[in-house]
Amino acid sequence: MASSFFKPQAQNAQNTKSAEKHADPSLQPWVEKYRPKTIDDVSAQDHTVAVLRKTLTSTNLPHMLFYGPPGTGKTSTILALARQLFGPDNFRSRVLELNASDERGISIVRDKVKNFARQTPRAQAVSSDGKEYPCPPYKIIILDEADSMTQDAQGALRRIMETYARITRFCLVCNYVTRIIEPLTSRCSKFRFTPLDHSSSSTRIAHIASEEGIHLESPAVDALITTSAGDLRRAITYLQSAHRLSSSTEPAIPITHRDIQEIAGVVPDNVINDFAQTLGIELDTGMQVDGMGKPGFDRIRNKVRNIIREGYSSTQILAQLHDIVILHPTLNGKQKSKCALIFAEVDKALCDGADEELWILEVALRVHKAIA
Amino acid sequence: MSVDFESEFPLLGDVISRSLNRTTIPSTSISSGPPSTTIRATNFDGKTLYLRRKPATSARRKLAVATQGRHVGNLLEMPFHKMMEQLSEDKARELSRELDQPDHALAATVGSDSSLWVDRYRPRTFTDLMGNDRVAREALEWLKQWDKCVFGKTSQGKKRKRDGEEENYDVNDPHQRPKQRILLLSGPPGLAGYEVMEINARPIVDDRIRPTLETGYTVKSTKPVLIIIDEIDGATGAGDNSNTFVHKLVQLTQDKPQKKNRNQSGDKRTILRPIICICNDINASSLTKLRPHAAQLRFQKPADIHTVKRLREICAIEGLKAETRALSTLVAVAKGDLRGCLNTLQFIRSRNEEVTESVVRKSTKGMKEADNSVISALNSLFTPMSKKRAKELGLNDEAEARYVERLSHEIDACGKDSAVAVGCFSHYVTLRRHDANFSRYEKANEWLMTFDSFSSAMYNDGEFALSPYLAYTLVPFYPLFQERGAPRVERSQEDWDNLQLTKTNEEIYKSLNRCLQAASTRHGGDYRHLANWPILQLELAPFINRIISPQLRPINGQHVRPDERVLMNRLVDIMSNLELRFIQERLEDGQLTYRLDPSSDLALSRYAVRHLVAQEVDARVTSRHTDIVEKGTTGKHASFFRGAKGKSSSGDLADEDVLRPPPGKRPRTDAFVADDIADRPPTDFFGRLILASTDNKKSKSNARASNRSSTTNASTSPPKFNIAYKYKEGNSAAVRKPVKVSSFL
Amino acid sequence: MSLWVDQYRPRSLEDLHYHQELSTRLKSLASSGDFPHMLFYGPSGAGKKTRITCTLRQLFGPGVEKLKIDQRVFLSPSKRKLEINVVQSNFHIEITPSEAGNYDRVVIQELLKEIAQTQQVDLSAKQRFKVVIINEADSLSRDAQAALRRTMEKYMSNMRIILCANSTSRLIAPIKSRCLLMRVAAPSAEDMQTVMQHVSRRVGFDLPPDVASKIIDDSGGNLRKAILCLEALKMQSPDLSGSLTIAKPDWETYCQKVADLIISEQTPARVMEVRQKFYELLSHCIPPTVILKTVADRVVERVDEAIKADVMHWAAVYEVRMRTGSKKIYHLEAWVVKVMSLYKHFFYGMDFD
Repeated sequence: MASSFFKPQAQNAQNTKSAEKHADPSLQPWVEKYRPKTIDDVSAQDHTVAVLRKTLTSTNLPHMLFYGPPGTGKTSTILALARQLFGPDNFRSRVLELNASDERGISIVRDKVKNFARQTPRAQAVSSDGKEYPCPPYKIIILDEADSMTQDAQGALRRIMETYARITRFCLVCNYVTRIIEPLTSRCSKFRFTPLDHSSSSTRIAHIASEEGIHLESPAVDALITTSAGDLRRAITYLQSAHRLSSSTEPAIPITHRDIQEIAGVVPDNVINDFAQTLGIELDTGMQVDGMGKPGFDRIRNKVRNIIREGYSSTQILAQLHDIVILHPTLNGKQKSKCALIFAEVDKALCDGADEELWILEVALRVHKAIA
Repeated sequence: MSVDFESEFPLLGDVISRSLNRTTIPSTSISSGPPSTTIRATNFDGKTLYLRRKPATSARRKLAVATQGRHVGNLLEMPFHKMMEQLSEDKARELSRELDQPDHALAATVGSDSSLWVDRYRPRTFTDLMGNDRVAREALEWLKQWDKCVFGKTSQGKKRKRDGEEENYDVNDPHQRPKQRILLLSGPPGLAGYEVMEINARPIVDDRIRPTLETGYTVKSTKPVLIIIDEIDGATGAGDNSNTFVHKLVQLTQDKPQKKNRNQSGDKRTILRPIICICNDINASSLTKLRPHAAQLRFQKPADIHTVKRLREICAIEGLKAETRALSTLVAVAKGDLRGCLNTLQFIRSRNEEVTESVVRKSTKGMKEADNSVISALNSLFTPMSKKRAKELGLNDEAEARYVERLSHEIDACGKDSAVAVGCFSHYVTLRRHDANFSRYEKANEWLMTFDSFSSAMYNDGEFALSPYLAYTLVPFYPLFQERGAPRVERSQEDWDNLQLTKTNEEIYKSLNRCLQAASTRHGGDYRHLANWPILQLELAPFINRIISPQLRPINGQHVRPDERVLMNRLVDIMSNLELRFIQERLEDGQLTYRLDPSSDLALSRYAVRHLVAQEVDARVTSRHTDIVEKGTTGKHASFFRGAKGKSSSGDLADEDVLRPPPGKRPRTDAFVADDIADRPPTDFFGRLILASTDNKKSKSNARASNRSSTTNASTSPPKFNIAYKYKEGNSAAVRKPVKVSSFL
Repeated sequence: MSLWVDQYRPRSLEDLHYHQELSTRLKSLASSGDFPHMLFYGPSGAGKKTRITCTLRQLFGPGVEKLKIDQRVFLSPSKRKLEINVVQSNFHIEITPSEAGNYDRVVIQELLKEIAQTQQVDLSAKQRFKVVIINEADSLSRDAQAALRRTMEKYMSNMRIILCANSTSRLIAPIKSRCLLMRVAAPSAEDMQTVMQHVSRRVGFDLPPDVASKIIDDSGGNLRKAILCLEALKMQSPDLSGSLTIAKPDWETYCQKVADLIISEQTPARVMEVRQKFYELLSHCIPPTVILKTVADRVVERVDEAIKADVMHWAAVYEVRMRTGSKKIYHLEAWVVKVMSLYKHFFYGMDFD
């Protein structure tokens, strides 16, 4: 795909494609539709934005490394920055964006990245929209999800970064900065992106909702924010899905927080609370579990079976149970730390692809033991 | 060079090999008993002797008889010695004649100092072999069985000439080729190579096996060839190619019997030459395919005393002073590896030292790792080192107690850590059985699991940095389980068998899967959801087995109660949709039974029900494609069926799919079109109407069954018209024997 | 004629017996014209695929039921040939990429690219896009999932992907966030009762409710299994009267025998015996996790309350090790030895204290 990037036909194809996209905005993901156009639009990353704003005026840009949890605006920021630097016309010739889905083995780094890096940037074209862009004399290569590049490929990148530093700037975007090899991180100025706080996410969501003409109740907004845990992209995707569901019926039903939870795959509160109570965790839900007695093995096992039968995702159950235990008001520190260890172990096992039923049972039994 | 040779103890091998190569003077070896009444021997003077023998059946007896016949005595060695003496005299005479001619054979055998002793003292003939008389004789015996095939078909005159050239054997040998076309020789290193080279020297050897095998049998027209494939157990190392090589070899031998049956001996494309394979480890995985097809001979290491004797002889020839004690130490350290001993001796010789015990000790450092098969590694894991062995290696108690390094080294050296692990796994349960609380077992399993996680991380995720640690995970079996006098570890086939079985079953499931998918195209996607992997084995397979075996009374096609008729129809529908068949088979005790295909089920009961169902299924299938050509020869159909069977989900559209006939289906000689047997007038085997009396019907159904089975037979061996019709009357087993149709005519 | 499971499988969204809310949602989505990528998840036998097929029918009409099977050959990076069976109609295509093992990424990329680049030719088609159904999506490798992620964005205009998985745990977050999640819970006992009564009515016999509930108890929320079981039962004893034993699948009975062996005696000889049985089960392609779970379930039923938790704990531990390891039999046996040891310790507790 990207190898044909430089051919004029390919560009045309791309253009028509994007034109097509614009023709059918309902198909376009809102994540793309509401991507910030300028770095000032970027939510919540004030410090980073402030630094980058300066580079707009100085035309000098270091190599950059953006890291932070997903959905915090890393890619949006660099795209917005590039757009502001070069304008829409030069954007294609000056910016190369590669992400994890593209082949990024060492051969790609050697060929494609190197080829692009060593081209001398073309002279600035007169921008068609009449605005003025700084258009500094370098190109930008954006390596999205750089932490999934192989060590070899990263090693190959090292040399390229230095050799073509005069005409090319690199921007590495990743979730885990530790997975980038040291020689690369030391060549870049690092920007940390923090998870979005409640207020900035809610403003953004409210903005999108109003643009799309959706009426959102505040519990629904809260649900969106809590389920997405600071990941704005997820929040927006959920919102779009919820909107799809609600608007597909006639007349459109309002989006409830339960809808959001179901879309996000969250286990409903009553189910998880019930589960927690079976394990012997006392909850102040006002709901009285009948025939409580001593929660024996069989009882726990049946409960786990039912939950699994409902099809809930085990990682989700684990995460929610974790929240219940850790934020529990009356459990003491020792109990909590024991449980935390168990959760960690189970999470590891689930990552290794363990059987869900066995391990949810395992976590249930051990939490029960730790608390009793 | 010549001096050296003169002084040397005259080796029979030299004599014979030289005579062979020069092909002037026929030589004799009466080493084995050719299976016949006389032995023709030609000595160096060209004189032909006939040695009388009594005919015998078994190899061993033959030999004994042979020696008795010659009135030399019962000891086997005796005639050889006499022969050798005689021959050495002959040789001396002959040498004077030969020495003035340039002689390649001499150059090779009468080594200069640069040649390795191993080569120089390689046995040239059978008689040079130490120990292993029996095994070697068996090998020769096997080879002898080829004589008829290799030489027997040539004209009389030619044969005689070859007789002289090649070897001495009896013209009247009545043996066919042996059943097993490959001889697999195995034994520890240093032994096998020695033994075989001897055979090597007899007929002309073609080392380039591959071209020979691949270009067909061109060699056949030339001189008789014996193919020797050395170190065949190393074949895996070379990757895929060699696997196919072993495979090819097997195919070569397998194709044979069939063709031969068909075309007695006129078939030109059979192997007419013996193949001998040599390996160190007979259990090597690459040889698994070969093993069943090969006659196996295992060489034991010769008794140390023989080896020492031989070494002393060699030392004498080479002018090396050697203490007997030193030599026996050497042999002990080398564990009987003659090659290793010779190399060491030559090394000592090159430094002009005397062979004393200390020198031997010095120069054998590191030699102890020579023996490195999986089995030996396992044995050292499970049994403590014997005192004797420790002494041989010069280890004191302390060094012996430091087992970790020694054992991990040994496991590493054998290079097949997973095989060692499997060995440990299968063996540990047999040890330390009185461990009350299983703690040893738990620990053992813990280590095994560690091994497994390491090795899978290594092989699956490419974490090869872990490989140095692998061996250490198995060492703990030593402190846990070592026991003096524990049973020696035998290679367990269990794991391997299980693997094979799994593969077979996987194939069955796959074909079932294909059937399901094919069925789904006909039924709007009905079956395809059942075809997914875990669902197939866990849910569909067990239940389908039940669904297709309803509780029907054993009855025949005409007497079916209406409710059972409904059941039956449904059953037949399902089976024909899924392309399941009952295939008729004959059990070992001669009883007929129906096997479900494709699936392995256990129930052998209710023959009658299955019989009925099988008929109906066939009827249903037949009715589906009545529109295909009616008149085709049986043979044509048979081949068609077989072709279709292979690709039963070739992805045609639904309608084409239906046309596919099942394997082994009855020929369309009688119109088997009706959906329901009950509606159809009963017919006998020849299509005539018969009266509905129970007896007749029974015979009819039996006849039909036999008809089916016979056509199945026919389809497996198409062209020959040796169809055996089985005609059965009543229940008596006496008349249930196969009768050829020719006996009716 | 097909098996009952298929014969009486609902063909359209209206026919579905349970999860009505889900059905209405699917229906409205299918008719809204804004059909997203979807991910159906839920336990085995809950009716995910039935719902997918119904949705397809809603989208495209009965044409989707005209199926053909293609055998496609893909080349792995190491030039090995991979043969994949592809079920397709004019409007959709169904693949099970786990057939390709480690090379599922290649299959996903090649196949999806090809589909995405072909436009819908049938002008009368109701939708402009084709649907790709990916079965067993949770067994997709991470590579394949990453490849899918990009494809899902790129080819949105003429392709929709429906993933079908038992659980979302093994799917990477970007995939989940790009799909509309559809949870299909296992039917409740009442739901299953309804369905089975419906099937029996259609077939034309009376199903005593107690027989049905027996089957339901055994099936563990797996409706497919329940109906197969019903059919087997009907075949075995057509009148469904008298004392009926709901036969379990062979492997289940076999696993229970193994459990009984473990409980009844704890000796090395018994370990060997159990190993033999495990080999047997494994060779019949029963997934080792299923073996372990079934045996453990049975063992737990028979041991004392005090060690139940431990038995399950070790089952869980060995299960995950088994996943990361390659020789399944080691881990199964390790668990057996562990359980035997636990059992012995429990019984002779005083002796060892």
